[in-house]
Amino acid sequence: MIDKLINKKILTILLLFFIHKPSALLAADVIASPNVQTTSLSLNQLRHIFFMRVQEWPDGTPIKVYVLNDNNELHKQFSKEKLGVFPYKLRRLWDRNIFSGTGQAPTVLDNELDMIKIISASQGGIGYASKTIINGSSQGIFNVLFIDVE
Amino acid sequence: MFSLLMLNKPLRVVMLLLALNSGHVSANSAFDTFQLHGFVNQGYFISSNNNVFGKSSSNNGSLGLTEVGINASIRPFSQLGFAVQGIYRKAGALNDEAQIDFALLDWTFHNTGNTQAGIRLGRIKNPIGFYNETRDMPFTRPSILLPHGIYFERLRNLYLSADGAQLYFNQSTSIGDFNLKISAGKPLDDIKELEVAFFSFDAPGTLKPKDAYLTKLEYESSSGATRLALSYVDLNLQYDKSTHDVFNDGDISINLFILSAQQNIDKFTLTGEYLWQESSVSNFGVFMPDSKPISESYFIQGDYRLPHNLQISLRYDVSYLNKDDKDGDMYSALTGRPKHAAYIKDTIVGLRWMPSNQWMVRAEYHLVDGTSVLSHADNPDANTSNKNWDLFVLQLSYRF
Repeated sequence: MIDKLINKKILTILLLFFIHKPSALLAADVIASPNVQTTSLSLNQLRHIFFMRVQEWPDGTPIKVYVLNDNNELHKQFSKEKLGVFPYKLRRLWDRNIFSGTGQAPTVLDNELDMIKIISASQGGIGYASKTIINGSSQGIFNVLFIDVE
Repeated sequence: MFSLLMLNKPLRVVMLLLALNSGHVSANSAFDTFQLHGFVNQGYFISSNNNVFGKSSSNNGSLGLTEVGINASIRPFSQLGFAVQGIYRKAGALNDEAQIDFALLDWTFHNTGNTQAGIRLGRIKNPIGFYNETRDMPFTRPSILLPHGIYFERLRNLYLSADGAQLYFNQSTSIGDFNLKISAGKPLDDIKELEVAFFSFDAPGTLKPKDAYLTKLEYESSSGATRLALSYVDLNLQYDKSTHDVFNDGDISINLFILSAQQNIDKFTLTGEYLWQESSVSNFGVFMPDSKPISESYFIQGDYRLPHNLQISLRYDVSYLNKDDKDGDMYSALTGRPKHAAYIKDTIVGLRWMPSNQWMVRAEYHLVDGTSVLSHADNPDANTSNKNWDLFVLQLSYRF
């Protein structure tokens, strides 16, 4: 019972934290599903994955790419700081892919919690999450792999 | 409290401890790559005179542009993908139809990360300039109305897509990405508006597209701030005369180049495109002597991104049917139509608001001199057209 109360509190604080966190504090880390065998990617490899040009991990597992909305501060931060591309470039590439039939687009998720949840539960998933991670209790443990970008 | 908790660091696995129920573990399958996307768009047009997409010059204006698109794609193997898109478009009296926009198989036969090469087969979007491949998708357009002289509305079906094959090649380098597309195919058939544009009247025979060859080389800097493209198109049409016809069987060959450039600097985007087009007309007989008029068009647009997901745009857009007859003197003498039907000069101020990824509202004001791009379908009598006019457009768009 006490556990549950504590958990609720953590969740509430956590959500507020995600909503109100000033963008200056955001730093995106690349995360992947626990079954992914790759632990580091070059900047080029990371770009190709998010540009939807590469469909498989080296071991042959299909890559599933997840992102947050274009207006999301963490998305902007990830795009600029991690990928080194403007968010509008990503949107342009994905829209051209989808609406000219020449490729696909990542799955867009509503928030960072969904991102962590879905990537931890999928196979071959890749996305990003902010560096500050949550200290919580035992209810719901999500394993994700952190990927180094060289 | 929000400290980074890194367990088993050597294994590079971090446990995120969240006060949430854990998600369901699902297995990946080929069907996981299935994607469905689409858009819905409605425009409202009101003009001082001359009609754009319906009776825009009437007191109530016109709701004459409705566009709906839906597409599906799947990539069952990393090398092989399929994609199909259907669109419905009502554009004034010009068109009111549903059609297959693209339906293709995409085989990436070479993929080393930095280099992709492949072939697409089926109905493929024509790579022309920055915007033609997604010309009906409102979120990808630089404005409500595409730059007139580069993306001729009256040549729409000819430009839209072609049934054939496309070879493509992507190369990533330290300075950016290079993308080459080479297409060959047969353009779509319905080109009534083009027929009227060419002959200045509804000729008794039929004009049919024969084949099209397209090449586009595009460069985009790593960050995406700089883009350059060169497009080349070779389009061939044939005219089959009817039994009682003033013309013989004739040929039209369109050769065009488009140079496209874009530079983003912080909140500012500058885009320009220039078109040079030679339309070679031959074998029609004495009533249409062989000729090779050269059309010229260009536009320059500046966009500035404001807070609250607002963007303001300014554009100057010019098109001459014949660059050696910019005032239309010769055109008027030959066709009996007004001089101003030989060109268009359009100054545009636009405002875009995107409250979310899914929704977009746009407003646009056009101050126009000339009528060369107006459709015959919406303006049956060229002689009643006005040289100087203005147009206000509102548009609401949704995507998924």
